[in-house]
Amino acid sequence: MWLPLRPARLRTQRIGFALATAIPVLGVVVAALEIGRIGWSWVEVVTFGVMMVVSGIGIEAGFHRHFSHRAFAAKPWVRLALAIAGTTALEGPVLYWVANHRLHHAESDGPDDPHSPHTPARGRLAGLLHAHVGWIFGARRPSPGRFARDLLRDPLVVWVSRHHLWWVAAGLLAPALLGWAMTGTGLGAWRGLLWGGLVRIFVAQHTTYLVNSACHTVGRRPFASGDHSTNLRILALPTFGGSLHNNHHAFPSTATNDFSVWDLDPSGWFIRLLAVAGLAWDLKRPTAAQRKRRST
Amino acid sequence: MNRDELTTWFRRKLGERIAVPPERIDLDRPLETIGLDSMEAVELTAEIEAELGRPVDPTSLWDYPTATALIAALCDDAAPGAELSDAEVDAELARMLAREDDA
Repeated sequence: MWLPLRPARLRTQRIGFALATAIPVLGVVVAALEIGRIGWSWVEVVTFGVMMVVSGIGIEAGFHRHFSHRAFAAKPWVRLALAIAGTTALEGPVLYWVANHRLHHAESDGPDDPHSPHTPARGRLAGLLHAHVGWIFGARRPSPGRFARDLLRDPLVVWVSRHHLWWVAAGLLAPALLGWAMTGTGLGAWRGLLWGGLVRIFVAQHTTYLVNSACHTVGRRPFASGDHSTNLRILALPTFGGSLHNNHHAFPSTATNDFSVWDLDPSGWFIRLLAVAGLAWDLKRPTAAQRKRRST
Repeated sequence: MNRDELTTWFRRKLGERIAVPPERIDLDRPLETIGLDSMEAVELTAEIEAELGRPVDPTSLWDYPTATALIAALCDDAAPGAELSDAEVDAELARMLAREDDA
């Protein structure tokens, strides 16, 4: 189940993970100071908004529903776009993300769950911190041969994963160019980079992390899912539907998480739109009878 | 490239990657216990592809029990592979995902 990671490789990875976690935080601090000093403009709003949709849909509809759970099928170029879009969130290469996530489901809230807040050895707060961000620095990696074998055979996924830092860089460059195009100034490019790049990466990372921490701790549990997963509707929009996490754990392969009118599921809307356009098909979704059987 | 050449090359490449002298690489040890992560597996198979000039699946590192078995298979295209077919991998994944749905 676990990969015996070599100490030297673990050290290198931890340095990379530390930078990937800390630099966006630094970006948020600089961005806040700048807003205090010179005020805001539309560049921040537009670049943040556009890039948040790209990385948010990439993670939730792409990395999560399509690549981890095969909740729907899609045209190759759509799969490529989703893989690249998800990579811009700086949550690791798609191969790494998917292996961790499949193990999370196989062992949800058990001792081998990579990121459960419910570990008896830790207190409540330490457990939450571990599930949120601490687990990333742990020494255990799920075996890709066991948990991502299909994707290791998928040349498209392998290619996107191999060059994952290109896509992260593109996710920083694109909002900088957009900021420059909006203003024609270097300051516009800088603020695009800051808000559409670093602040957006911070928000994308921590909304995903909240699904791992908060959505296994507080919220409603409409379905018997055999773990502590919850629905937190307040996070539904920023997590692009990911925070409807109890729905998801009850029915992991569903392409759409909205089982009530109050379940806002932007990724589900996006996937339905792809289907209408003929770009995605075989959308999985539990029937009303299946949902009733599992409801608490 | 014959089997001896590929073996020497593989020892050197794996040795560089895991910082062990090539002569100390045990090619009969299960590949998985070497501890290559997914990115390293992808990079190493890309190197093998470049060396052999034909496509090699990164899952080869898990498909064969040892490096010796992998090298033997790479040298002899006609050899019956230990590889799972794509259909078998799909079936395995379907089972894993179905277990989740029933959990």
